[in-house]
Amino acid sequence: MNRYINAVYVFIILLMIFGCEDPVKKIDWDYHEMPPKLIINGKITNEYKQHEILITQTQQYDDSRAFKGIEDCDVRVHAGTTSYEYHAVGSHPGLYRSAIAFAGTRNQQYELEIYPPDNNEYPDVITATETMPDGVDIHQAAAYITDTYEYEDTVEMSLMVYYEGSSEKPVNNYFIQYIVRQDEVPPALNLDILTSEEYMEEDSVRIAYFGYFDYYQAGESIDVVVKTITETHFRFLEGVRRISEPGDIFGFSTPIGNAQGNLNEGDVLGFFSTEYESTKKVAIISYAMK
Amino acid sequence: MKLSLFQTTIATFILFFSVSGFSQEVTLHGYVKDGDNGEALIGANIFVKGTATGTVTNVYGFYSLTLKPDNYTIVYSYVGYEEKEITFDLTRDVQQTIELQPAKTALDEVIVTAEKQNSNVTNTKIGIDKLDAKTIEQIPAMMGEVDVIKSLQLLPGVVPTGEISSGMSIRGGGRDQNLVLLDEGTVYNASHALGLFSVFNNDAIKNVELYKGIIPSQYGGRLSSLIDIRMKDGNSKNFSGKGSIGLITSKLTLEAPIIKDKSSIMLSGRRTYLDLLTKAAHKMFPKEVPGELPVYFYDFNAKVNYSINSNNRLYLSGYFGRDNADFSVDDENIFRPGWGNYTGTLRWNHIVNKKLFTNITLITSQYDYDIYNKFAWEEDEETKYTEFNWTAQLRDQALKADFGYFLNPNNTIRFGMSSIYHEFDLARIKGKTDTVDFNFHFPQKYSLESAFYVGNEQKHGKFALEYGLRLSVLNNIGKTDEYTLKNYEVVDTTSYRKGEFYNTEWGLEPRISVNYTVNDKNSVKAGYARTRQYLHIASSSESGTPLDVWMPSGPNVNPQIADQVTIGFYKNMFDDYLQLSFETYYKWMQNTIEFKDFAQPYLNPSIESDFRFGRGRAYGLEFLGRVPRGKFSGWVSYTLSRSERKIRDIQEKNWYLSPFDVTHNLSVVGQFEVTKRLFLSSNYVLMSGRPFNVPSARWNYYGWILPYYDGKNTSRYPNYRRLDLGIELKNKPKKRYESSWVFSVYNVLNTKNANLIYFEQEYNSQVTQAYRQSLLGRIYSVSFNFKF
Repeated sequence: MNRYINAVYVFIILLMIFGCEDPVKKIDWDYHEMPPKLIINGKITNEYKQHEILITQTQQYDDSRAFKGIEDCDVRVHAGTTSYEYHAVGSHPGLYRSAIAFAGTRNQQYELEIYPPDNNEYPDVITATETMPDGVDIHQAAAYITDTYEYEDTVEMSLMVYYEGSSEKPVNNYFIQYIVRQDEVPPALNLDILTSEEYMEEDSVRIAYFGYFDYYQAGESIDVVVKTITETHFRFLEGVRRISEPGDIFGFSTPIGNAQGNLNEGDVLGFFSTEYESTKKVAIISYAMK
Repeated sequence: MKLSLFQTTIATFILFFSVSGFSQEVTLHGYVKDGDNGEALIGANIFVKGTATGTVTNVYGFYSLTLKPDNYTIVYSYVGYEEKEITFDLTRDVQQTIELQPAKTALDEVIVTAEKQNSNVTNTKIGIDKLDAKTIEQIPAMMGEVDVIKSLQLLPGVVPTGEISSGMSIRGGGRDQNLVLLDEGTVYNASHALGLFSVFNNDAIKNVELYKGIIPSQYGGRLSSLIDIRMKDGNSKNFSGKGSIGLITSKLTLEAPIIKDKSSIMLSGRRTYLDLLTKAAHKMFPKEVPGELPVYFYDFNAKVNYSINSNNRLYLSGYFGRDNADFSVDDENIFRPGWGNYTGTLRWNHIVNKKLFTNITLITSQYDYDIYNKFAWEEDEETKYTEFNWTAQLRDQALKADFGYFLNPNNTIRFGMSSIYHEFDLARIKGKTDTVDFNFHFPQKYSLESAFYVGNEQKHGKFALEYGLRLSVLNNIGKTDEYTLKNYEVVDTTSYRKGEFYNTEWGLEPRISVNYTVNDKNSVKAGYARTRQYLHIASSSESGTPLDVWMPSGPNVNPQIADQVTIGFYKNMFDDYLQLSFETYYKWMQNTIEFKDFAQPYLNPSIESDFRFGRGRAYGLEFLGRVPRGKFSGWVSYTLSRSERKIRDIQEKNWYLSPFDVTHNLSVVGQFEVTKRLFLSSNYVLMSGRPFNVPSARWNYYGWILPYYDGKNTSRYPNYRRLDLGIELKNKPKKRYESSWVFSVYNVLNTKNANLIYFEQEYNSQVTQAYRQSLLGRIYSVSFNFKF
């Protein structure tokens, strides 16, 4: 009897195996095409330098080539009565650099104006307006290794970063915060910590803590970076971060959308931003050394 | 003021029809039952021989026929049963319960609808489909597990919301727009095993009716459909049983009289053992079966009825079902989700007098889920841990009173009321770490959903009408917190005391359908219905998940409203062996809910701030050709449809396709009786893929490569197609014992239908690749069925 039951059992299991196949397969997909849209990557910071604006255009979703730079654009930024001309950087199609160096100043409104080359697919003019936030200056910062974890063959530590800073008045509470390790080239856009938390007190002092997990060494030097951004820019960056590939097995993904920029009421992709950046160099200390 | 209007309407109805009633009359009333097991027969015909005068039994098998005093030969009939003729000398009122014997010919065993053969032509119902347990049983099923919901998905106007989903979109509506009732108890999540099966055990089911057009005024609360499922009452004559042993499930149903012809009981249970099988398979063939599937479900149906006397009968029925999974690694790292429904119904059928039938019902139902999660790690040579229990539930307590007044053969008035108290516990997370306890709790919501209705089924020559009016009301009740939204942002919170009624939504819902019977083989029907929906699923998933959260309308969420117009043509041919229907519909929807871009649908305490509201429209043409009986039976169903939305304040300003838009939907279901002991069955499904979001372009922002969507739902999944085959081999019957082997192959052609299509960019090359996830390939199954 047992032999009979076992035979039935094996038969059932074989049937199941026969029905099992890898459920996920690569497929070819016929993406529908749309006319290209212009993309602007542009920002003014409080750093004294020649500021840059990159103008490219969209391409088909599965086209992995480099984005095509748009040449022959007339680019300028107005700040009150002052206008800054931008010139094309010859070695990098689509990149425009301000003719002179300047530093963005707090509460100054900046107006971007771009005249693309004549083309039925591009708008005649692209405009955007942003005001440099009344940003936070870091007064002091510290970084502590608080815990050590051993996971398989790696060692991880929790690094707690603290900073205290102030602005002239607490009008703005939208920040990008991150650290840059020694010898590390920071990415052009680091959204590790994008926050709208309000820690600004009445005396305009902001205190913030944030953490990282990685392998650190006591004595290692890092830059603590805080960028104060506008609310519009913050919302746009939230969108950038949330854009995910659509779908999962239960449709758990966030409902899709496009990050809404400030160029021609969102008709042109990208963002023209004004960022107030403050950096403090600190040496990491271990919890025991604190 | 509105209530007095309602009362006036009822009084006018009764007065009007009393005046038009017979001046001197007698009434024949009683029940029609199955002679073998005492089950009440729903929709049995009772008519005066040689005339068109007659009536049908209601859902409890009750009938009442009022006539002038005279001698009459009354014919009792029900498809699949032997007709019975009885002559009455009706000089006074007569109470007569009739038992019909099931027909013994094999031809009559294969039936699609258990009704008068041309009732599809003559009744006023429009946009209704009926299936009985026998029909469902003969459709080839995945893994041999016959399924009510999967069978309904083969009917016109009905599409599944995913490859493995038990969710349905009916006539372009959302999956939360279907009212699913099991013995009047609301089933909020009809899925077992993530939608692979429905919660309904076919062996415990007597009858299924799907109203997708004009829902009777007795029912409401959902925009698109009513799925009314009735459990078996239990055999009041003999002890009987039915069961099956399948590849992944086994089930057993027992029925018995407690007091013969007076009281009976039905018990039915089912359990899967996929968890045990995959565990064994993984152990025996670790390469071929790389992992276990530690998921199982069980459910249990029970029903007891007791006939106190000829005028009073009590029914007590209940369902309890649960899914459990255990993805724990060890005792320190545990992940155990579970979810389930229960319903309980106590009904009192009371014959007030020869014309007035009442049904008073007390109902309770609940859907809940819980997730227990614990994870531990080593730190400083100590074990540290975090554990939490996440629970959510929706519980209903309801009272219904339904009255059927059989005024005369031409008018049957129905009126009544219902009141449902909803308790919403949207999420509660309680947990602790090695150092702290935490407790996170969404504001609970309470609401009272009430309705009053009156309607009449009226016959007038070649015209038959069914019309009614429903007044529905939703009260939001404290204790709770409500957010005040301004431009969809939370600007304030108001707390309400326990029991405080702080918001009311209400509206009238007229319903009417008309049938013009050209002759007994052809008819034309038309109808209009308004429906209002006060409960909504707050989920971005189109296929449905165990974590679905229902929430009521309130200050920030308006009720959804639909107006539907339906016109149909019905034709029977070849002595009713071929039944054809063509229906077309147009549905307008208001306050359709869509999530805003980048919404946070899960664990969001102010989820209503992520809702956006707009309009919807759905229209289509449905064809159904049925062969309800004979050696070869089955049906062909085809739907051509469109479903669209227009929502303010989201990226798309124009009409766009609803995720439930399926342009073409074809199902062919065939059953062939080769010999008395050999049955072949098959079904074929071909439908357009549903719309979904595919990026139209890519763009870059400081090194981040991002998708750009040029509108919502602009692409479609590939077409879905599937062929299933089944063979039933009946063993030679031994006295009362019958058994059979059922072999079936699901998706014979092994078509790789997409459950999900997604896109990934390879990290280094940034090359985009499309992936198709197909869960159900060809699946073989065998089951052994028995009954006695």
